[in-house]
Amino acid sequence: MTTAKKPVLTLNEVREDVAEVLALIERTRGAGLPEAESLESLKATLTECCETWRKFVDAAAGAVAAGEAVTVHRLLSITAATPEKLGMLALGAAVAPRLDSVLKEVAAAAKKRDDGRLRLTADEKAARLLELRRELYRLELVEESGVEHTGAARRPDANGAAVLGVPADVAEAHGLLSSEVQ
Amino acid sequence: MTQAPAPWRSAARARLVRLKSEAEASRAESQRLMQTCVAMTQALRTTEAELAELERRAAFTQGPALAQIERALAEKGADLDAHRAALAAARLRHEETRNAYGMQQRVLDGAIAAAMRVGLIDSPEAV
Repeated sequence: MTTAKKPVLTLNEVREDVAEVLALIERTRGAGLPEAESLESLKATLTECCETWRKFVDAAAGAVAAGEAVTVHRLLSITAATPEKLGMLALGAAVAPRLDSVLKEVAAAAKKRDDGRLRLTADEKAARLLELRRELYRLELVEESGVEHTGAARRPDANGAAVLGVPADVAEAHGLLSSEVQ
Repeated sequence: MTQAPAPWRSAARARLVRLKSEAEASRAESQRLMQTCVAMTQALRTTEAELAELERRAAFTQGPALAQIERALAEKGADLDAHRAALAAARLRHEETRNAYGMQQRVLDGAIAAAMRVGLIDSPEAV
């Protein structure tokens, strides 16, 4: 009976694999949210703007009902007058009467611009990054044994934990799976 | 009863010490090569000055004495070429060694940071 042997990779091959995993990590880190989730966040933000607009209308109505002279100064006091509030007010005024059609318009325009980028929810991204970082660390341990064996120079960005031969579970427990900024 | 440390810890500590001594050896080699370059540059300047002096003397000399100076000039010119080639090679070697040291130091810094995180050492000075 023959046993299946894992192919022994050369140091260069391991380094190619390391580069590939690093590229995947970079791509995953740059992944956008799924379209529906992104659209949902837009809806929540615009709804908040509409709410700001409705509160303004209500406060202005109160001032008019009380027979006040509604000056610019009074208007600004009604809106709380921070640049962000004013922006939200303007957006709310524009969007409030037709929020659903604005969202449909944005969704249709976004579909036309879809460049096929990777899209992941926050949980999916975290899980995928952890998986990739575990794979990277495994490869870096193999790479380090290749360096030790051949006497080749180390990559300047080699993971210090892998260079020391820290076991993967210990490295993971101490946040050392990847030397990149996490 | 105290628990024996995991075997990887002593191996990692030994590797850390080795990384540091390798980086220190590269730094010492880089400094030695830099001093060599300085000495070779001084020797080159001396040869250049000697050549200039011979050229000055040749301008005021005639007959057999001139032939002798011209021979000396040719020898000195060859010396100068050899000095320049040796200096260029030494500078290249110094540059390579300095780069290698820089990379080893970066790896060492990463290893020290990792060693501190897993409690292998308390401070960089502990290596």
